[in-house]
Amino acid sequence: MPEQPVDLVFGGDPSGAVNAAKKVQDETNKIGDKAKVANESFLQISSELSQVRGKIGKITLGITGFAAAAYAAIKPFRDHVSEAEKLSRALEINYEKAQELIIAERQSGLAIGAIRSAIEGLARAQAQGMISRDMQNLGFSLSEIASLRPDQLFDALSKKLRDGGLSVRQLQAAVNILGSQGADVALKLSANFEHFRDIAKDTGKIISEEAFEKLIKETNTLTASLEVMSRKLLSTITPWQSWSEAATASIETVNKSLSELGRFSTIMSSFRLGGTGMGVQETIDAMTGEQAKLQQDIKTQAEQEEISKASTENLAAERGAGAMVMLDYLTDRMNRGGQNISTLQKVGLAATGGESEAIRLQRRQLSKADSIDKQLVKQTNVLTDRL
Amino acid sequence: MLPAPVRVWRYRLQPMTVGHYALLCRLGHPAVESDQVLQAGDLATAIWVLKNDHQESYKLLGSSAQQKFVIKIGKYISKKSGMHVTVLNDFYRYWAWQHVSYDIWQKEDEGAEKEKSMSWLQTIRWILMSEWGYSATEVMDMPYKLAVNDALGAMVAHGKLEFVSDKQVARRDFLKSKMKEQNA
Repeated sequence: MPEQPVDLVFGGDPSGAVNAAKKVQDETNKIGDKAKVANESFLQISSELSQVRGKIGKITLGITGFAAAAYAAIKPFRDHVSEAEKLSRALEINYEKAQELIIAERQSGLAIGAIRSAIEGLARAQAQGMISRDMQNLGFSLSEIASLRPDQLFDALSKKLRDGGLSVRQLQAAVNILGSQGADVALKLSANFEHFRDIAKDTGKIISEEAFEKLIKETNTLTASLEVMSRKLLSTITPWQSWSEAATASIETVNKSLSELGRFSTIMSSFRLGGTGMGVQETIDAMTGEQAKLQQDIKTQAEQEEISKASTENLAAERGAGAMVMLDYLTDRMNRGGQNISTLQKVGLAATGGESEAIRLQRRQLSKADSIDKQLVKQTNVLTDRL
Repeated sequence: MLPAPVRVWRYRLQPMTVGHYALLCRLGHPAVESDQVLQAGDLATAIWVLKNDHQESYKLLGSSAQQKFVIKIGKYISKKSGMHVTVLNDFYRYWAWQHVSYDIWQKEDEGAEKEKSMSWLQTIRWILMSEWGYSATEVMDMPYKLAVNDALGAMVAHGKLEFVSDKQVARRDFLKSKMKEQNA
């Protein structure tokens, strides 16, 4: 009997199924390549300005109207300046770099604050120093972690990802380190963030360091002027002495008063109002008479604004200092107990929550005590000299 | 058991077992096999494999239901703006909890030292069965992370593997460089 060829099929081997599943997976991946990435469009300062210019042309209101219009006109600049200033203070970077990052962030379609939280995340991870596995996975060398500032680390990371692409391990580390938008930022860095930084440099929207400092002062003064003048106007031409009084007056009273007062334009031109019974011209005269006091008020207001801005925490510096303390602490424990780094890693990771917070607080108190101490020494020196 | 993230986007995934891992290896899935960022299709496949019991996934692999799922979800992920990153974010959070890898294996994968005699997965199964006395089915049902740690534990206990501290590594490197200098 001739031999019959027999095909043996192993029922347990799902090669066909595996191939089918692989094929579907690959085909679906191809759809992903074709999909368009929808970038958010952002309003440019120039276009905002033209809108504002259009608005200004139509404005025919009185002094309050002018204040509002002036505020609207400077708003794009003011936002840009204050945003860049906040970033620069928080991360201890210069104004030009802060502006560059902000513009690139907007242009590249990242969420607002993504870059800031990424750099802060890097600072936080840097606080773990050599024991941070994620930092090493991102491709940083120990010397880089030890010597570079957080924003320089960000620059280095950006260049690394642009040149070398993004691996799964790096993306995973980025998700752990670079804040809530970590994955987004890492993908953008590996794609084209550096390109957007170049664009930001070329647009001419970056205001130079000196001009920027001047601008901050001018903006503060202008905002303070508007604030003080509107406060003055409120107390002069309405029955209420302050914003809080006006705000806390019941809606009924406000509505009643307004219906009695009629339209605002009419008020501005002819009506005599409130307890003072003064008209617009008299109001302006009264304000001119108090020019010196007004100037003083404006100055105080501007100073207050500056102080409140200066009190923004310097997170990068705080975290850097915390890192050194934590590293010393860990090194010491390693030397004393003969423990290896992996045991300490657990300790270090556990300590990054509450303990580093405590260290930060302690450091703040110490620096306060230090400045008081310095003042005392200075005064003692003066006294000694005189004696 | 410690709480771990199991929700990826709108799907509740099973804790990853050795069986799931084996299936992903069989598919040559990039999450296991390479360092590439996962594409929409890869994500959809991984979600499908991990959302079922590993035996069910094995049984239904390549079925029309599976293919429909991957195409539908893959399309949705790739076409909806920002969805890819959201799902990636969730998936890596899940993966970081469920997966574990050690440098010793990565070095071997890179081919730096020597060719492997046995794949990583085979090694785990072999060690767990021979050293701990688990059956093949029991191994497949074990959480992957637990299996890896138990396998490594057994290897250390039987002197097949040794953990070296960073200090020791630094000292060994230092001695190596000294030797090189002397030989030169």
